[in-house]
Amino acid sequence: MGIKKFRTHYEEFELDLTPLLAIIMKLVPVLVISSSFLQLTQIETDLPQVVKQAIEDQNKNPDKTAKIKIIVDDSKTMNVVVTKDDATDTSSIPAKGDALNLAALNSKLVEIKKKNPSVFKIELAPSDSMSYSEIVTILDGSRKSNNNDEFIFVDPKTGKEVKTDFLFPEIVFNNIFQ
Amino acid sequence: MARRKRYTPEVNKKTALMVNVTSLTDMFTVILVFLLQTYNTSEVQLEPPPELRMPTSQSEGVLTQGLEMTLSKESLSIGKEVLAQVNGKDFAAGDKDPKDPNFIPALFKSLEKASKETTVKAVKDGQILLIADRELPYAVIKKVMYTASMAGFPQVKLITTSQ
Repeated sequence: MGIKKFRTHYEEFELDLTPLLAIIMKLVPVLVISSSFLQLTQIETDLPQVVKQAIEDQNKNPDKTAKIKIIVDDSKTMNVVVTKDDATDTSSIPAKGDALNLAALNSKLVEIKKKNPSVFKIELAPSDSMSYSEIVTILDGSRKSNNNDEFIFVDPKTGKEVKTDFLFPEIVFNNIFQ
Repeated sequence: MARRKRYTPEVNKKTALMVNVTSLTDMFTVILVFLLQTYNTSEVQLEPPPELRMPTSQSEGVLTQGLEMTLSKESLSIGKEVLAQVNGKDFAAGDKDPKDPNFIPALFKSLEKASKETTVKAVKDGQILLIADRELPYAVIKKVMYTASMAGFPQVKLITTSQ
């Protein structure tokens, strides 16, 4: 009568990882070549269909909707001008030290958006001395609320109420031809 | 006095050598996940010059096709063709139109040529992908936009790095 050999679980299951390793070894060089380590994005992107429709309507009937303009002067003071039904309301946002006061601008735009939920377009007139990165920060601040607020507006096609988190996604440089 | 014999383990020469690849597989799996995360699915691949520093943006827009234009602190170029010189704050005096300082004649000619010769629909529709240095003043960018809109390229997409 022989002695029964004691076998452990480790001896019974030995997973062969060689094929998996072979696949990974082939995938890694492919991904290293095709990977982009600098992620680029673009401003002025496709918008939800309902928002697009509202912008088109605003372009067709510019007199019916409020016109919003941000004018930035050399001292980095931002003047937000809202024109509606021949009445003009101007709010001035002074610079915070040497920088633009973007938090105050975003709050002001949220306030304006709540009063004019169907407006999605604003005009921007930066001063000639403003840097490109400062312009991009204004574009970012005008696109969405810092507090992730949502706004309800009526879809011009269906007449139903729609929620959106967009503030003013369409920005037109207003002083290009000046 | 006899020297102590060095210990040599007994090796069974009939068994095959087994390399433990578990740790290597672990490492490759981590690398694979990282590479899959950074994998770019965009149809457009842009290569900004190494000296150019783009602004960062919260925008999550995927790159679309268009005419690639590079505006650095030294020059304005389309592809490898340098169209105008920039001195950091403005275009060189010789590159601007004497009658209209916002107009860049070399850029206008190049855009007109690109519009006629291209087969890309986005370029025919007047789309420009502007890769510009973040420190450039608006006065320089304004001149590019002004000339581009004159040449029938009204849609300028601003290329930024993601935050």
